[in-house]
Amino acid sequence: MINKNYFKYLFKSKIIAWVFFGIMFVAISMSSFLTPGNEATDCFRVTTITSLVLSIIMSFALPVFLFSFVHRKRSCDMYFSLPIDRKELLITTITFSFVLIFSYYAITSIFALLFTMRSTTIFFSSLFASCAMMALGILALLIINSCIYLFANNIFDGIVMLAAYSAIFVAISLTAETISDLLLIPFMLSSFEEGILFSPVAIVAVNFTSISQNIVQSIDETMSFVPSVSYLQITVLVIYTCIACFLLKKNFVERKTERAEQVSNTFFSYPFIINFYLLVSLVNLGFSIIKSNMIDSFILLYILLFCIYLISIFVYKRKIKFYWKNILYFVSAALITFGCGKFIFMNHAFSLPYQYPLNVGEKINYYINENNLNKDLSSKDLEANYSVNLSINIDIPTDQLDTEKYKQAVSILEAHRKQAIDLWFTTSQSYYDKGADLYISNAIQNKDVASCSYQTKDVFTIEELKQLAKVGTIELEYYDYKTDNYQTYTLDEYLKEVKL
Amino acid sequence: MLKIDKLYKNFGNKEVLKGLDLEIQDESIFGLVGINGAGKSTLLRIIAGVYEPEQGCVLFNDCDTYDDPKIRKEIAFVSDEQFYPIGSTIKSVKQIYESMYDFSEAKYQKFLKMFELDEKDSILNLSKGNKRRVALLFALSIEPKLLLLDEAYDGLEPLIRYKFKQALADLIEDEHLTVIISSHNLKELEDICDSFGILEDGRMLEYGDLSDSKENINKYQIVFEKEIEKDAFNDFNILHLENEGRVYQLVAKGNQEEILSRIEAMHPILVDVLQVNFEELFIYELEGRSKSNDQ
Repeated sequence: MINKNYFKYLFKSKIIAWVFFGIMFVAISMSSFLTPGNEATDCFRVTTITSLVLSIIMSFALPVFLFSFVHRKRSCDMYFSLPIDRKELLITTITFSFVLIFSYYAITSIFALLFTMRSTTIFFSSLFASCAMMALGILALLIINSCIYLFANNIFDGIVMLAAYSAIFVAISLTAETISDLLLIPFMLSSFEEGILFSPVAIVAVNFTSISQNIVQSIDETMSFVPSVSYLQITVLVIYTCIACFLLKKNFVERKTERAEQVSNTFFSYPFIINFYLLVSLVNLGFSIIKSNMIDSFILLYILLFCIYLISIFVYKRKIKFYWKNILYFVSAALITFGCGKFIFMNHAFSLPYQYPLNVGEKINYYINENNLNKDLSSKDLEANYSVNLSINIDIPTDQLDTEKYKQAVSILEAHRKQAIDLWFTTSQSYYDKGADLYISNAIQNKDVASCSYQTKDVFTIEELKQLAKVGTIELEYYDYKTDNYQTYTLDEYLKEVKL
Repeated sequence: MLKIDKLYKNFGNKEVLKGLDLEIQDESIFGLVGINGAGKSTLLRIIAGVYEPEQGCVLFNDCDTYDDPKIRKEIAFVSDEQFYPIGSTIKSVKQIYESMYDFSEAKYQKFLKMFELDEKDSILNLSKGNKRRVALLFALSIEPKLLLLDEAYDGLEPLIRYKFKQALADLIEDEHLTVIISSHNLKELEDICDSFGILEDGRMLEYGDLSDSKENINKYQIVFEKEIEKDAFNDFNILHLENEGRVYQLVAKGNQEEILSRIEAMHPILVDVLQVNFEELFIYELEGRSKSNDQ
């Protein structure tokens, strides 16, 4: 499958460049060793991260460099008349890129190990695992990036596609976060981090870093870091790679040569990218308007978005020409996304904010702030020259929610939370000086799973506070404006102090 | 032998080749001519394996030139505009041909000298004509069995053209080379080609031996006593007919003696027979075709 003659040509044709890039790769990666006073283990870790970053950059640059011949008519004549099967041409080019990048990484790692082995313990299992992860990661990124680059029909559009597809996961995650923020849906709120982590680059970076940070350790250190790899993410990466292989067959092996230097109008190029980013932008804008109710200030944003849309059409079609269908399309999409958002908002997001998913081993944390209260813990009068700030912090393991101990407290907290949710969907005011945060976390890993912030209006009564104090921590802070003094109390102390 | 069978090629909705059939014998120099946009470059690219046809196949020595990459080792394609990577010299470009073909260093040195090139020259700084020479240099150095020249013959100065013709003649004799040249310079092609093909409306309008075709088409200058109706010539296979008063110019296809005897039957005062050249053959064939389309 690999054409040895073409492989040799790829190497010999730019041998000076490859050697130069190799030297730069090693030098940049190992630059931390040149700084005096750095610990060997720290230098090694910085070197592995730097070599990872450079490898990822090369996995973008090499497909552009080595597959650009497809995007020029004249070079197509030369390369496609060569006595080499197209599949061989593709596999040989990707294999060469992989061997080149992996060689740079391997040489860097060898040097780094040589520099550190005297003063460190080397965990060979982590070393082999990180090499395997780097090999898989680089190969996957090369295949995926080559596929994306070949969606286009010319060099400029190919680079645009690479940038656009790289940012897709960020766009999806940001949109998910915006929607979940606006609709107060807790179980979507962690999607930002997880969404990013399904981008191929992030999968490679996170999993490689996780393994490689434990390759070396100072001799006098005891092992504490447990590297963990997400098999789910690696499976996703493999799926992406398989899809990219299939699409490469369509976009390279079966490619019509005459596409070179034409407008990039295949489905996965501008048509998909423009429509995707337009939709994402309109959803973000539409949902944001609904809550803010400040449509005047958002009209400017719609106009700006429309201008950006038109510019992208000009870049796509390579013509400065107005198409009425594009204007109609934009207006329709804007109305539909706004309409959908309005519909969802009017239906209180179909009761989704009232729920949150709970799993065994997790705990719920209610954290509530009520600021600017009166001494009797009612909402504050403006004339007062003091303020009382209240914070409530309650942790409840999910398997104990229905127990006698927590049942009453949960009922109080949930009533307030639902009040806050109803307030959110029925008023346009977006800020109150009372806030509540709900966190769901994994008690074993001590990691947040989901969270949500609420704006509340009604304060807790003293009876409610007494119930909550039985299962959690309540702190009150009294601030005197005149003397600029703070005083902190527990609930019992405060009630005694103010004789409530 | 090169055999093209029912070749179709579209670019989007535009049909460029519509069921083209063609056979070119080994060791011939085939001149491919046609108007602009006829599909000459497209045809050459399909033969070279650059474009995939929608239907039909191109067989060279019974191997499909698109599906079988090995046969492309014997095919050299010189396009009208060549590609050279930035910063390349003749020596650096040589690498790809050395790697991928049966490259002959002896031929390379011979043609390097013949084309008066220096392999250390930066190709970017060469003139258009010299870049053409570089392309021809490599095309000949890989010892092809089929050489495709897409207007690559044009732009060579007369001395180099002469040397190139000599080189081709030697290669045809020694290496059994077949050459297909596309060009608009029909006078030049006439000197070098022994067979030809006129590409028109996606098909071969006419193709075959150049000398035979030229013999089969003649220009007859006829003078009558008085002006006669043009209908009198309807029985002839007319490619072109014009008159100025009683002086008629007839270009007709067919056996010269037979046509002469028919003209004599019309009692002319004077008849003169002139041979057509390749350019006239091309023009008259196209004219004749457009007339029959109008009818």
